[in-house]
Amino acid sequence: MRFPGLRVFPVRHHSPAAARHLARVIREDPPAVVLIEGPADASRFIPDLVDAGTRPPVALLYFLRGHAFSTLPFAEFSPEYQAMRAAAERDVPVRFCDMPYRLAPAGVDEAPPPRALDDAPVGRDDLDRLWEAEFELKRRDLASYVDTALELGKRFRSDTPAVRAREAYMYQTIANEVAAGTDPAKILIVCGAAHAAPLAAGDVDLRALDDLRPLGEAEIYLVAYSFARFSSVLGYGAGTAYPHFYQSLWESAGAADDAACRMLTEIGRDLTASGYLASVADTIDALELARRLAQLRGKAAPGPEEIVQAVESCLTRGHFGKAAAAVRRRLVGEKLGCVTAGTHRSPLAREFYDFIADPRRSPLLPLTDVPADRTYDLHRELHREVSRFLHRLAIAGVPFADAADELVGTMRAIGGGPARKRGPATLPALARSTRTASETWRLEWCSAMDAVLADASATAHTIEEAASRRAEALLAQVKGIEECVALYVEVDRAALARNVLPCLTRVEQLSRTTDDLPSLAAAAADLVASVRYGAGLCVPERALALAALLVRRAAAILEERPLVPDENLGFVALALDQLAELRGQVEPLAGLALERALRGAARDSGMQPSLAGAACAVAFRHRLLRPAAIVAEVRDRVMNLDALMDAADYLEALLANAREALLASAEATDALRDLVLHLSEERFLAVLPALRKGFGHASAGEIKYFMALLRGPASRRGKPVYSGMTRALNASIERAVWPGLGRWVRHGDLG
Amino acid sequence: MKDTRLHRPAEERHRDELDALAAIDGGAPRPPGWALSPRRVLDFVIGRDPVVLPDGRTVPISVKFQGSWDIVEAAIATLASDRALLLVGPPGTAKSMLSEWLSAAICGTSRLIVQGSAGVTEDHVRYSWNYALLLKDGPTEAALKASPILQAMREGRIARLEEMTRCVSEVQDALISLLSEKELAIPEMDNRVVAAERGFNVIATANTADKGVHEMSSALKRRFNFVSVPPVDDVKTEIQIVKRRTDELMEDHCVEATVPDGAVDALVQMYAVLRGARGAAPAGNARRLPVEISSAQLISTLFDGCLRAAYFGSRTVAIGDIARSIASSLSDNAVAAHEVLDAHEATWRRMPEVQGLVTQLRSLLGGATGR
Repeated sequence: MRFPGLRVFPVRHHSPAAARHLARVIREDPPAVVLIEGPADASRFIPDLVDAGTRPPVALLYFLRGHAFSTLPFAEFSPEYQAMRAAAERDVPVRFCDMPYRLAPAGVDEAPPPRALDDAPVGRDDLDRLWEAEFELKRRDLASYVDTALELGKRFRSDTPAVRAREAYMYQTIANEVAAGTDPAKILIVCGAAHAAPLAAGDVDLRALDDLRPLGEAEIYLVAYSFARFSSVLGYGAGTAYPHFYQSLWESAGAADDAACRMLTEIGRDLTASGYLASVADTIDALELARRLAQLRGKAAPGPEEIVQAVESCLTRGHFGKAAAAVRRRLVGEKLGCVTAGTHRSPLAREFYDFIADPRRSPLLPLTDVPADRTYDLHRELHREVSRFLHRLAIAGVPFADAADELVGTMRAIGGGPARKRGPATLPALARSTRTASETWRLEWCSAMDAVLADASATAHTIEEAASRRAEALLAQVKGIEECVALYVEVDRAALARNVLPCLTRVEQLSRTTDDLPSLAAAAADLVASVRYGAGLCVPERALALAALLVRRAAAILEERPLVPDENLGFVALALDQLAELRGQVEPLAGLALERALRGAARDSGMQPSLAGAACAVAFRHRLLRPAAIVAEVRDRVMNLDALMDAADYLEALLANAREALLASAEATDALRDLVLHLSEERFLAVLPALRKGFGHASAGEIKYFMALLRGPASRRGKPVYSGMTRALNASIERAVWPGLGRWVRHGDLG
Repeated sequence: MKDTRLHRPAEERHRDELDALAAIDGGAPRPPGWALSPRRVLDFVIGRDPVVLPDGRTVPISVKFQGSWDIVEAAIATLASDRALLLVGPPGTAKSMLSEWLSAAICGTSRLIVQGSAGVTEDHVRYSWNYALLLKDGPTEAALKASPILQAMREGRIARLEEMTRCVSEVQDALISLLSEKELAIPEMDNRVVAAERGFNVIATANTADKGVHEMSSALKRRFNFVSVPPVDDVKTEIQIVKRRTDELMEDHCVEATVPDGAVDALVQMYAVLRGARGAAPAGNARRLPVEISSAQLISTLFDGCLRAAYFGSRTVAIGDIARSIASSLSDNAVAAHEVLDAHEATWRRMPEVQGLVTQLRSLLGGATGR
């Protein structure tokens, strides 16, 4: 079957040359109907696409629930967009005629990937370069354009079941149009050059339609798009690598040399502004080089490749590396489109865009696809409102903003959501993040965001509801108390009233089974901090009571003499310190329990020595033990020759966690001095390995300082007297102390 | 009579190719003073299908430069313009050879060359005198000793300046007026001015490893278009380069040895790993060999192996010959080299074609370090 006179116009997606010719054809000889290769179920968006309120780049966003999304972008220079505009001007009806997104040929299980309107079967670089040289950089009249495009389309056509099915669908649409009484000669088909010849010749097998089957319910929305996403350089396979250059081509009506000149001038200015010596004369030379390169390559005018090379040679003079990103950014462009306010949006997307469109909030929430950092002062109500909104988006899994602190990363790690960075937070990072009254977020708009919002609209009416539902799901997956508190903090900051108490209840449940001191400490610290800087939704008493519970639980665990692997000892020491800091902020009885546990652990000979040493250090730092008591404990331990290595472990942990504080305390240093000087030679030699181990982490300066303390007179109150290292050892000390210490002191040699 | 020179310039070595390309060039547009059109110069450097001459003879045009065509095109386009060309890149990336091929194809000679060094003076880029004649007859044309650059100006040819950044700033400054005015005044001869003929241009090379030795002034930089020549990052291409250049060296030095394909592959692939171009990140901190690993270095290593095989072995290059050649080049850094090899152990296990070379190299380095 063939339709005589059928008008088929071959295009390539994002071709300014095709757009120019096509728009003129429609304006000068308007058809009765224009059928454009594009998913038929998206035709209802054509009025929105040509609406005055819509400014390209925009994209049709498709997805099937539970599948990845796809986009079909349109720039001002896209022939399909210009065809729609021209047809609208002439009151010509326009429809998409390609296979609907919800259908697929048998054997295809997944939703189709983003499609170019003319799928290229070969390396896209080849076809792109060829098309660019033949159509964009070279001026052709209409006849020459159509003939060459058809020939190129035949050469690059791929004959796959999917392509055959799509062509059959398009042809069936044409047949329906003819059956409805439209003269084939008044039908204009706008399709990829690869499909043009089969459609014009009727070389289509309609049996391919029999294999089509539905994949599910498709959601389609019109969303804003950007040149950055348009660019295949940045990941969109069917886009164009340098959309801003193509926009220049469109605006210069195909005068490619003018477009190159404009690009090079802009790049020259950019480079000058960023410190390169790129004068006007250099730019002229660059244009000249670009033209010669184009000539050498058989091109009618310089294209992006020639521009990049000319910039490298003439403007950056070999130092292209630093300028490369800026040059590419200029060629790619940063244009961001917008869609008419009346377009059909999912309820959540509508809420999102309405929220950020508020003039008070828009400076705080820039809609940009170049990452923008914003810091919010949580003491200000407007900023708190924005923060709440962003936390809700983060919980709902909407990829719009990433918190600069680690909490969101942790929360996403729990839920396996679309985390864009980081793994689980470290303990100090968590502690830091909740002790601040400001938040820094990195905002970046992307089309995936619209897809997630649309997807979530199926089960929620508001962003708050979507976040709340996802928080429930995340809570069900939580395994550790630290994760649970992180989720609670997030939920609290997002002001999700429905989720706060369940989170706290779960924290309480987990506290009974958790025996990990660092997790308990981090969780308790976050709970306390959340009362200070959270949204204040939870009852503060409840959070503080829970924090106290966790502190009490930690104290009980410490009293149970836990065994801590050496590699975790640092974390446990940090946790004990964190808990000790919290004791003034929680219920006094919990604080007292912790103090008792720390003092007991420091003197407990049945406790793992390194843990006891760490507890002793924490107790000393928080003034729970007097220095003399600590030194007495050390003396008792080193005097026990049967457990010297235990003493060494104790001393090592003590000094590792409180060395500076001990050396700064006159009372402690005096006691240490007495301890060492009153050891017998035999005992000292026996103790030496323990001392070596204890001072293993000390710096050379600290060792020298300690040596000086040993040699020098006892201090008065305040700082000890430093007797200087350059002088020979005091003879009386040399005699009084044994040769081992003499060697040690003289050489400062602990090993 | 047999040509016994060690190195024959490109215009002589590839005379047939240049003649064949000129024969088919016809009336193709070309910049003034050029022997070939830019398109044919490009063909000469990057190779093309054999040229069929009107008399039926077929002349193959060999691939000379194996890197990106874009580089060669940018170089040719620059030479057709008012600006001079500066080829910059790390050592061993064929900058000098590209310069030689380009000048041979464009003006028929690659021998108007100044080898840059700290010893080069202004006279080497301008002119000097035959002092006997100068004393006898005064400053006459006969007494004037034109530098290769002045000669190129007079004849409208390409002058080559190798390792420009090794020249002191006075020499570099002397180039500025030459390149901007395209003329040279000779005060001793009543201020006679020698104006460059059309076709004159300069190809300079600079080594990125020498950056900062004698930094170029901004004024001089502005006289050049910079074209970067990066190292070859494709293993297959590098294997071809190493094979071809080693064959040429063997021919020049009358060395008769057979190089099995496996030996070249093992050598190039092992160095690809050590450069980080292949394989997983190594264990520990040892990552790079303490010596430069350019394609030129690989060629030198393989040629050294050929010499060992030809004069002390079975005339077939064995893996052991290559290993000994590498080990001798690493003798000053044997311990560090051994550590680097150990660090890549996981990668070697996945590359059976390289294991033999690595094992022998380790053994030789181990002997040197007492391991």
